[in-house]
Amino acid sequence: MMIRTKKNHKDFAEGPKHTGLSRRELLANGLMTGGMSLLLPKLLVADLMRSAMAQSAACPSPVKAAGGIFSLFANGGPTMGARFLTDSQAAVMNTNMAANYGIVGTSLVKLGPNVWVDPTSPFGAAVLAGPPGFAGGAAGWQTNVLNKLSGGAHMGPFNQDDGAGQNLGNWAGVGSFKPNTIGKDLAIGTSTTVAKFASGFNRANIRSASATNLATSFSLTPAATGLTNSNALGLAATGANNLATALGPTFNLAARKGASQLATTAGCGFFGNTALANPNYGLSLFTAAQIPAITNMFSATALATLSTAELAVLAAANRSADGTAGALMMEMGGEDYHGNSPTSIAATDFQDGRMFTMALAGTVAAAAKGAFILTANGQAIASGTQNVTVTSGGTAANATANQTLNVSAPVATGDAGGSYNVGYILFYDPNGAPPAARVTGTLNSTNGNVQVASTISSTANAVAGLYGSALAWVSGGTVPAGFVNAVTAGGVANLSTLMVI
Amino acid sequence: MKRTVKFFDQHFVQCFILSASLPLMVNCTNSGLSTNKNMGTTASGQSAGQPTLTPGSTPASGAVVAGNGSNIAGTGNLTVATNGSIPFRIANGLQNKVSPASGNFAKALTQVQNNLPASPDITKSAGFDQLQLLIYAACSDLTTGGTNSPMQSATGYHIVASGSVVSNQAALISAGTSILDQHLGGLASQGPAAAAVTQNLTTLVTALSQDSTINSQMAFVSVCIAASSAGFIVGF
Repeated sequence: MMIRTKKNHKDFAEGPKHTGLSRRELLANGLMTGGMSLLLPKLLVADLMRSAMAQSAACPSPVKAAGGIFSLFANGGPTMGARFLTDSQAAVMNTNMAANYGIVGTSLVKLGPNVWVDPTSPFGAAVLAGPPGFAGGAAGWQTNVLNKLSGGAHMGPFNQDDGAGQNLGNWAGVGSFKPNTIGKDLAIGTSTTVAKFASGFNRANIRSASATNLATSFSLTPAATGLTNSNALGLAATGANNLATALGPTFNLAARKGASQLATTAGCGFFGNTALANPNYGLSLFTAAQIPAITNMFSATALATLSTAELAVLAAANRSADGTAGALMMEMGGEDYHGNSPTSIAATDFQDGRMFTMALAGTVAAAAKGAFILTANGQAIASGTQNVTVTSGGTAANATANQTLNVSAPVATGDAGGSYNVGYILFYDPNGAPPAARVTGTLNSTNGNVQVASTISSTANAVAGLYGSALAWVSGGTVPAGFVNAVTAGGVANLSTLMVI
Repeated sequence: MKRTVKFFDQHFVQCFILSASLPLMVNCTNSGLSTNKNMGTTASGQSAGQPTLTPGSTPASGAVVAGNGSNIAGTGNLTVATNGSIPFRIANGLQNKVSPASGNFAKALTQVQNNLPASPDITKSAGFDQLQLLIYAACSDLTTGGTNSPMQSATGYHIVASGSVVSNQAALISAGTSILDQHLGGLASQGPAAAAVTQNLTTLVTALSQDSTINSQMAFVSVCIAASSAGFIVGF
């Protein structure tokens, strides 16, 4: 309680100058106060930081974010002008340009608002035919699927001519930036260097496309029976993390750069293995005939006509689209067309068209958005076409179901400075509203040469822009900040200027 | 009566307010402010600045700790083991009683070697989940050979395969500690966190014993995985 007393001028003149604070009191108390006033900000900040960082490693809950991302990297330098075409190319198509691209060019077919193919080319024939057994056949495929595609591209020699160089980083991924239950991308047959910005992304490397190979990456060796089960693996993961936590101070992990990231990355990765104790887990993920979304769309008879690789891509793309996996990346080797026979070129182009078709079909089965990237590390110029036949890659047991088509294959002749190279991206929207996508580069309307845009000065820029666009499309329009940061850390600046949507 | 508001009362109020936002750093006493003698540590002795790992105790004074000098740019970085060295570090953690060239270890290595971390930079490395799969295979090799297996033998981990998990608890904890020691130069059993290591292994074994579908062999494999994995996380 405070008692008020009336004071006169003497009280003020003679009263204590320091309101009861003696020198001893100042030393005893005030000095510490002063010290704390200086120390407090630092201590407070330190405490806040400590509080923020003292959380135990928290693994994000598995989230299935629908949206498929597929990329196909043609390693070697094919005739990219004989695959997809843009509005501007279709508008000025002429004999000279068609010959350079390796297509007939007189009956182009439009897919969606701005994507074209030549139906007589091996690639175009595969795309237009669609997957065997699709409701309504090729016409139904075009009406209900292909017409819901839009296209964007970075055109021109962002890398050089055919076989322009290996390990340029023509493929990447999205890892966990597209939330998915297995927390990683699927990379099939990727023998070349991944784009620098994606080098740290989680991915499972699969040697070649087959359900067995995919399943192997999601199974235990030896089989779990008698050695472990899901609970035992989960408890082991918990134990590992708890032991690491207990030992952290001994090794001063708090002060070691990257320690917390390792604890989170490794620890959370361990927990993701618990499902692998089920010996059927991997096969159930990647066997097309075991995926209800696929069997609802295709009969067993239709699936039996597909090759092992086609079935694997169909299933894996579906798993990307339904949110089980991140992106699906494929590298197709031996695609330097310079000097190859038209028959050989046709088979390869047809195969790539089928892979694109299977990836698209897998996405359609998931009723999800999709983005499909096609890149190459070069481009072989052509001198017209030659009529050949191609056969789909059906299984030997179902050879009669194989599709044999007459096509006009590119006659690839050699190098052209990469003038026809391109990185495509196609966007699929199940609701028929794919995004308006742009095309960079300046087209020469006489011979089809394309001058690359100044912003797409490197393979890294082109690839980052394409994957950023894909991620933006399936993520609802926004590129996750972590992906942007990874791209920036990988030496690619201003991602938004490199994207095509 | 004149107003007499003592200095320490003013400071007690100030201290009380501050302490709300600065717990454990400031002692509020009638004698004013004083700093905690363990300033920079929490009441339980947890070290300051601990990131995602829950702190245990501070290293003993003068102890040689990994990461010293981390405040200097370019030093103190964590370097992760890469695919070339991981198999051998797993084998070393298991006292070389397994070999990456034979058994399940070799088979699994063939499958996952392309998925293991390829870069020593944690920010660029992927595939740590595959590490656990490889460890599982290596640990499974310890169970082969019946009573002569490393899991059961007297020169190994002394697990009685026919016994219950509970009856093997001491041996399982000893096995986990031994594996960790191999990875960490003996600091699991001899370092400041020895008690915490034992406690965590006890917790693990207890949890394993509560699942009737997990026998002693499975429990051993789990302990082996946990200890080996932890050895990598802190010992990378």
